Amino acid sequence: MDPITVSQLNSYVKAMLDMDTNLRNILISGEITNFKKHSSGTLYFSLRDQESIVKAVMFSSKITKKSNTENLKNGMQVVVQGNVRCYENTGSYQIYVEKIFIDGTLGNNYTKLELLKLKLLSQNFFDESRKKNILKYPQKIGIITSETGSVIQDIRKVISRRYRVCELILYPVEVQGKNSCNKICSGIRYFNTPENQTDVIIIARGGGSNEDLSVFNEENLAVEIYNSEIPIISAIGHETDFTICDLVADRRASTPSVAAEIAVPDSESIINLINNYEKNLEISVNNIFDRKTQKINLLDNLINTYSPDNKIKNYMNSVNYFNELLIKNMSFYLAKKEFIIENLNKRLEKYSKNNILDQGYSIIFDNIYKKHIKSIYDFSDNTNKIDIIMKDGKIECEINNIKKI
Amino acid sequence: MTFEEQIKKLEEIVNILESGEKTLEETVKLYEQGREISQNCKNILNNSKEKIVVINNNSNQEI
Repeated sequence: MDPITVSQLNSYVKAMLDMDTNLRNILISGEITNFKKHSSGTLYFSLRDQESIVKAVMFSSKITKKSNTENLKNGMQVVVQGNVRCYENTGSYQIYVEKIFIDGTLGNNYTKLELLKLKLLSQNFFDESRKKNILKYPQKIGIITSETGSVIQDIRKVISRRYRVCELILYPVEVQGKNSCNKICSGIRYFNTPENQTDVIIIARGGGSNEDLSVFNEENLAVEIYNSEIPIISAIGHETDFTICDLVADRRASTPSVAAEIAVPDSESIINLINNYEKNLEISVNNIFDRKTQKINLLDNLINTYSPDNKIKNYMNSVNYFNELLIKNMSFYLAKKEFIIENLNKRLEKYSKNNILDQGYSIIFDNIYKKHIKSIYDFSDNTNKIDIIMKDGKIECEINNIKKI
Repeated sequence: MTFEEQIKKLEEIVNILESGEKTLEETVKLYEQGREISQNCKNILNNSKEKIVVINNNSNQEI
């Protein structure tokens, strides 16, 4: 095995410690020793108990007016909250302190509150991942606040302006004093019973002093909110006030009016949405109609192609075509024959009687027997006269002698 | 149907029609249904009156 370098070792150990969530955001109690305040304000010290000691550092950036660090000195019992990490350069681990609680002042309200916050934090009370979604269109809204005062009026005003569709159910409580926490818890449980169930719960209170708001920092209330099946919107005090109730609730609103706005949608925007839906309805239905009409036209054309009417028309066309062809062929044939006949006529003409006489030939005609003499044997015994017919008249002749050639 | 269910149904109908895969009969039916829901939703929004109930919790303080 090749040796590793010191830097590699320290870097590895640092990574290991960084990965371990058990060393994140923990509380460690011990006695301060080796306390040193650097000129930058950063505090260096160690925490010890009977057996052990560990280094700690609190950077000046973590120190605020409320930190209570001015009076720190060696020998003091404290509880620190912070993360354990490795300082790579020296290979030592130490506590990087976020907050210091001086043991002697644990009774102090601020410290108590911070410790409670830490406790709830470690139990995942503030985890965003476990927070419930607020229903977009609630039907019933449970409100836990004072029946008198401006808070309920503000909430009603906002809801009646934005979304009158839902029903408001007010569970009246005192928002400060001894009984207040129990009543608010009862309210949460009331709205969580099946018969009284609402879609969302608003817990609200107007501004007040830290003491006035202390009810909303009680652990019982935090547990009740944490256990609620119904999403809770918390609006306690003014924008700058952050109570435990705000931190555990599923949503935190800066004022009661804002809580109401979170709880309900705005009618105007819903009407816009519905109008848009209506527009889209029209458009898509028109599109569908157009497409269907096109399809029908297409099919209609197709069907017409195969219709009997069309078939008859097609046959008619063929018949007409052949008919024309027939007529054409026939007339061609006739013309041809006519031509031949004419030609023959012309040729025949050459041999007609007149034509022969024209050429200077004569015809011998037996006037008694009225016949054309073509040979000496055509003469009968008593024929003694013949006519010689020529083109311009006839010669009447008497026969003297007939001799065979 | 609750108001939310109606809005959801309307959205659903619009989506179905936008996909354009329905028959003419179904389209006409969905369109009519969509219009009815949207008119109904608008009526509800415009005509609802604020309702508030105050629980009397003095008698049973611990629930």
